Amino acid sequence: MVEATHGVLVTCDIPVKQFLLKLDNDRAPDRFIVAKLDDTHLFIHGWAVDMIKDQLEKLFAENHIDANVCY
Amino acid sequence: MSGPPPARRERAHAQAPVTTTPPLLPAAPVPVSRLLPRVALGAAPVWVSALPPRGSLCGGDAEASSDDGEEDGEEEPSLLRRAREERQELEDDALLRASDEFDREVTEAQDFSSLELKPDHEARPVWVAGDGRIFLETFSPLYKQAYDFLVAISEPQSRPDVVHEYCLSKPALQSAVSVGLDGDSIVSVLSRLCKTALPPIVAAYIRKHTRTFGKAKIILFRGKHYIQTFEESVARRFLNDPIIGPARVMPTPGGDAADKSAGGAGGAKPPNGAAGGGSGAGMLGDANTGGPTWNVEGDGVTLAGGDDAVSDAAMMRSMTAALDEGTTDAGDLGGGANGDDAAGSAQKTFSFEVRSDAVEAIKQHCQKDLNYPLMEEYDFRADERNASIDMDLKPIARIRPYQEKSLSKMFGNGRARSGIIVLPCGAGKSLVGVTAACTVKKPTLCLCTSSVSVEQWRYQFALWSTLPKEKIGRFTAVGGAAGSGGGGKKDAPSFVGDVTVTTYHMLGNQNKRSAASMPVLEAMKNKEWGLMLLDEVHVVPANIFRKVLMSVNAHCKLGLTATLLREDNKIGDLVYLIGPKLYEANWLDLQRSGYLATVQCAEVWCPMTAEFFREYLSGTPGARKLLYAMNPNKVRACEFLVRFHEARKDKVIIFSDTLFALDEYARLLKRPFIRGDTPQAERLRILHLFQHTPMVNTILLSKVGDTSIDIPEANVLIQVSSHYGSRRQEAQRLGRILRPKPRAGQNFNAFFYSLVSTDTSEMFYAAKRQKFLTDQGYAFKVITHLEGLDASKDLCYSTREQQLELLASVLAADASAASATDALDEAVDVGERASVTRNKASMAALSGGAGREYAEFVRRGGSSAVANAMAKKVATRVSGVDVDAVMGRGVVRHSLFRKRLGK
Repeated sequence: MVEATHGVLVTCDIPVKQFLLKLDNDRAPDRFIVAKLDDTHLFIHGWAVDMIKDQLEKLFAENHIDANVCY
Repeated sequence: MSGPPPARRERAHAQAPVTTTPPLLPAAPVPVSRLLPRVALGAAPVWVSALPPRGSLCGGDAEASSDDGEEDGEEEPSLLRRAREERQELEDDALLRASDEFDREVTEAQDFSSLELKPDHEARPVWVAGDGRIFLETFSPLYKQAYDFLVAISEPQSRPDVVHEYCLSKPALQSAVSVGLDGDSIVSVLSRLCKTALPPIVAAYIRKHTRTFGKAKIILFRGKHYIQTFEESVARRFLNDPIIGPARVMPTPGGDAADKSAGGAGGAKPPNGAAGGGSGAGMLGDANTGGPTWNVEGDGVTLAGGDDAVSDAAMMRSMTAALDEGTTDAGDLGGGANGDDAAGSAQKTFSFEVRSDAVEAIKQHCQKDLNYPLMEEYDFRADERNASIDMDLKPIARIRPYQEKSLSKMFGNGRARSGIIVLPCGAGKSLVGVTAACTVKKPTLCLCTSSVSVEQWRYQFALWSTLPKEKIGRFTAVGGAAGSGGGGKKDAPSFVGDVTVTTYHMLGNQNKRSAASMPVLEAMKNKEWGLMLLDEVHVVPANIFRKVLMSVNAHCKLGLTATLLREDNKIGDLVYLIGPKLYEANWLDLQRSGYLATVQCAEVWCPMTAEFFREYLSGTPGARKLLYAMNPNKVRACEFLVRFHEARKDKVIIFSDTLFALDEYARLLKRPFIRGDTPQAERLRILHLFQHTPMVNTILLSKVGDTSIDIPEANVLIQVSSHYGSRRQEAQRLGRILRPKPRAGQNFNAFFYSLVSTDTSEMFYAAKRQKFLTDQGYAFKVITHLEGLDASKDLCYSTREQQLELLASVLAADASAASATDALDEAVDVGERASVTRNKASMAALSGGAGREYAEFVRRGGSSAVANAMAKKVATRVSGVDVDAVMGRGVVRHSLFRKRLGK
């Protein structure tokens, strides 16, 4: 019997995959990754997409400098 | 403050009184040198508590009579002028309201469309915004003159190719006054340059902050400090002040007599020219201008400091003449200047002596509270107490135009002004320092940051001046104290000479003083120094260096630096510790004229490998720093670049702040390295090999190499890890390769690579660090992928196994040990201690997983020496931890390990 899961394919670079894995780990047992396909692809549950986007925004904001703000 | 009848002639407003159009030019402030012969500098200080009748002022009788003659004619205008000034003052204050500084926090776009363009705006190069920012078009034919003017009155913010941005600020305006401009002329020139009408608030701001500066001076004369002012009201105000008043030294009858006789001597002898002219073969004492003259024997390279005010006036005259061809102003101008000169001859001074120990407090008080900053000047030619030293520049010394300009600001009126000269690294700061010393010809104390630069300064003095090397003293750590710079007694004994070079640290460090260095230190403290050269002056505000400035007695201080900025905003302290900024050069202009190497700056992106990024995400800040420094892709990129440039026969420097990374990279690349605890002799040997032989083409430096290590040959710089977001460090490092190197047929002859691990906080820091350099007009090119990196197969860490081994050793690096060695480095780089964050944590905490994943090495017996050592450590540390949990986690975390276990 074939078992089918509805989900989203995520294509990302290597570091981001690591980030998602960590995110997934931190959320246990409420995990969102269905399958780790290879270095740059993951298959995840659709409900996690918005949350992932938020988290990635946060990560990028951390490492980004705003040219208009004086430090 | 309204006082007694004002002194009739103020320095700044001596020319024609009320006119609706203020005279166009800087009113050519009277060069002080012309006033001095009459006032017998400090010799017979006027005791102002009972202000004496005019006749008893130091001016001679003849003076007084001529004074009286002029007085009558000018009585009314002076009152009128006074009234006008007071009205202006009130208006300005109302305009500026309570805010003392412009509010520049606004980040969104501002609307300046209300400003109306002048009809001939195209000929004018400058925009002035209402918040004190000034924009300059560099393609204007007036650029050069406008640049000289703007850099004198404002702080350069950003100077890229086409449009420069400047900000008006209080310190900048004050230094403008100190080099001979005054408020009204600044306003009038600026409004001439401006494409629109000058916003009134800007004019008010300029007037407010130039009004009080330059009215009072502090002078060291015969070992005593005098405060001198041209205005009675200012003198009264000082004497009634709760801080300055008590510090005043009352003249004792005996002392008075001595003073008088001294005054007689001082008065009889013109303070300028003659005294200094006697020594030195090539000296051209010019009693008229009183300006110092650098004469390079037999060569004719003559640098006359001359009257700076006049040269500035000439500069602006040519500029404004170009602006308003054939209009009325030129005649006006000449008249103004002449009248000024005449008026100047009748100037009076009021001076009183203050206690030496209170000087620092007084200077700060005047700067911050009274708003009457004290200028510091040293009349070195009149100083007979300190014997002149027979030193001159050698004929081989060529002084470049910008060096000449900076020195003429310092010696503008025949005396030596204390202040700071900002020149890019590699632009010949040492020559400026040596030339200043040769001009003053008095005992010179030179302070720098490390023992390596001590030797380099001594070398520079021997190279450019006629002073024999035996007379150039040095004071460094003797007897190998605490490892750093421990060159040992026999090759570097300390002694005091006419010129003495030492480090801030040696003077500032009060305790742990070896017996051998004690007498040397005492000798230095007791000596009266004519000139104090402060290399890399931006490190001075740290408290330890304040002690240096207090304990050593110097007439004049010259600060030299490339980067007048600190992350902790203590730069403002320099104004009263040393003096105003005298000159700042534009990096790109120097590059275009070939005085600096043309540098290609690049930021190379190195993606983190999966394993390193995984550890990074869960790591503490300390571990993160190590992880992004040791990112295998970065190591590979570094090796690739080193090979590439060594093949081009370039000389490469690699910088790493993290000592662990420094050692690792040195081991991998098999190249020599210098760090804080490298003995002096070895440092010099490595540098020698690097500079003079093809055997060593690449060296690695920790942050001890940031400043002052002079490596003129290097033309490629690779930055592996750095001190967080320090803009200063970035600029200093770039400076290591800025010395021009002739290489035909290439656009760029120097390369600056900053290796950055993507997706880490290093990206953030890198952007911040580059800000200073991009403000200077440098463009950073981002290289996301190094061409040919993947093709070169034999680079290190190309396999996953090697990368994982590296990861293990990185995580194993004991953080506390690492910070201990970092502390060694700290001892040398004392500048930015305040901003260092040190993370103390156990190894388990720093490695994130408490080192657990390495437990598997215990079981597998380990495959490498590193792993073995690791295993031992882990075994001792994680005892008591549930082994199953440890194993389980480790397996989950490293897929690669799992594969190996499964074999």
